[in-house]
Amino acid sequence: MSLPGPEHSPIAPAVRDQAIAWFTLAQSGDMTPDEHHALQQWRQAAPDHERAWQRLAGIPLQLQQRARQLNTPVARAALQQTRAPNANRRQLLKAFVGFGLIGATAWESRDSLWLQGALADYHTGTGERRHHTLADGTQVWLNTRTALDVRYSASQRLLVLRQGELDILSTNQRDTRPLIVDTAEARLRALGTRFNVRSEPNGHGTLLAVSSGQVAARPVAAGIEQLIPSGQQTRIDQYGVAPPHPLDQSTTAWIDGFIVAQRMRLGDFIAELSRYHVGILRCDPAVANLYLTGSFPLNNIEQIFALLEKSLPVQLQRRTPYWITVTTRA
Amino acid sequence: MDMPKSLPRDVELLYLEYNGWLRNWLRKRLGESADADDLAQDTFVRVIRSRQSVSELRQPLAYLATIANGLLVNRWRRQAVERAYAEALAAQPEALALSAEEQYLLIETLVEVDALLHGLGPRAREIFLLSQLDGLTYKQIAVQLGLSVDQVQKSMSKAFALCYASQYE
Repeated sequence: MSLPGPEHSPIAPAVRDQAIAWFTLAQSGDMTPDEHHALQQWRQAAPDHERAWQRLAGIPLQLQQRARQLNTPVARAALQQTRAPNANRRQLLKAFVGFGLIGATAWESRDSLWLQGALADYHTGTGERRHHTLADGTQVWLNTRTALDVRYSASQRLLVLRQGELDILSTNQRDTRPLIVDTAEARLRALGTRFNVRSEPNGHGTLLAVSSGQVAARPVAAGIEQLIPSGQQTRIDQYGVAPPHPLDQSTTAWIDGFIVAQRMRLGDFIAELSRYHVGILRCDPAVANLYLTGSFPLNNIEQIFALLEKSLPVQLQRRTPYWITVTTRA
Repeated sequence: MDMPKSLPRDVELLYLEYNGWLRNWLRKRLGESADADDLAQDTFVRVIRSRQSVSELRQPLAYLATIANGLLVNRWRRQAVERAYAEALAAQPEALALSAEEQYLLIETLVEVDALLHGLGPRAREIFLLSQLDGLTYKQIAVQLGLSVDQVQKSMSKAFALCYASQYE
C-alpha cells in the first residue's frame, strides 16, 4: 500500500480527467443518491483520487470567498467581459500558479472506504474479479470493488465483507468451526454451502443468494436467525429478512464474467454495468425503460456498448472516456 | 527570507551586465520607456527573491526574459481587467461610488478570478458564474440561457479543467 504523496506531486492525467468528470457532475445540482454514493466510492478508491478531488473542491471556495465583492453588477460584467490579451496561454497560466493553493486536504472520515479497501485482506478494484482459496480450503470469488477481511480464530472462521460482492464455496466438512460472513446489515452462517453475498451501497441492504446447502441469516438489529434454503435468494436489512424468492441464475453470472439480462430495464442494466466501469456511466431517463435480454461479457465493456448501440435505439455520448451517457439515438 | 550571502553580489553583476539589454527588450514590447524601466526593476526584484543561484545560470538572458515576460503578461492581464471594469462602470446607470482603496481591492480580486477563468469566453464565464456564484443548477442555467443541459455541462467541465490546469499544470 502506498501512502499519499506530497500535496504537490503530479497526478496522472487519467485520474485528473476522472476527477473533473465527477466534479462537474457533483456541481450540477442534480445528482442521484446512487451517483453520490458512486462518487464517494471513487474518491475513496485511491489516495490520488481524493487528492485530485480536493484540488477541484478548492475552486468554488476561491470564488465564494470573493462572492461579496463579485456580486455587484459592475464586477460581474467586468469579469464576464474581460478579454484575454494575446499572449501565450501557458505563460499566462504559469504566472498565476501561486494563486490560491488549497488547504482543505483532510480525509472526510477516518475509516474511509479507501482505507478499508487498502487495509482489507483481500480487495478488488473497479472491473476486477479475483478468486482465492483460504487456509481451510474455502474458496472465495471477489467481484468488482470488493473488500474482504478474513479473521479465522480457534472458535470461528469469520469473513467480514466491508463492501462489494462475494461468492463462497465451502467444502471443508471436517472443520467444525462455524463459517460466518458479516456485512453491515447481517451475520450469515454457512451450513455446508455455496452462496453469494452482495453488500449494496447506500443502505440498500445485503443480497443473499444460496446455490446449495443453507445459510442462517440474522439481521444485526434482530435476534432471530432465519434459514435461507438452497435455490432461494433474499434481501436483508438490519431489521429483517425479506421473504425469499427463487434464485435468479443471473445473480452469479459475474463469476463466469457475464452480466445476464432477462428482459431487464436498460436503466437497471446500466446501473449494474457501472459497477464495472471506471468513471461515470449514466442512463438518460428517456431510454431507461427500454428492455434488453442477453449475456454480456464483462471483460469487454466497449463490446457491450457496441451491442447496445446495435440492438437498441440508443447511442453513447462520450464527454470524456470517463463520462459516458447512454441516450436516445439522434 | 534567508539567502546565501553571495547572492546579492551575483545579482548586482547580473544587473550591471544585462539591465540595459532587458530595458531594450521590454521597450520593444511596451513602447514607453517608463513602464519598461519599472518592469526591468521588478524583474530584478524577482531574481533576488527567487533563490536561484545566479552565478550558475547558463542562459541569463533567457532567465531574465522569462521573468520579465511573466510580469509583462500580468500587466497586460491587469490592464484587460481594468478596461473591462471601466467599461462595465460606464455602462452602469447608477454606479456605486467606491473609494480608491475599495476600487483597488476589487480590481485585485477581479484579476485573481480572471486568472482562474482564463481561457473561457464570455458565455462560458457567464455559465460558470451562474453555477458557482449564484448556485444555479445546470438545468436552471440551461433554461435561463436557452441552452441544452449538455452544453452547460460541457462548458462547466471545460471550465474546471482550465481552473485545474491554471493551478496545477
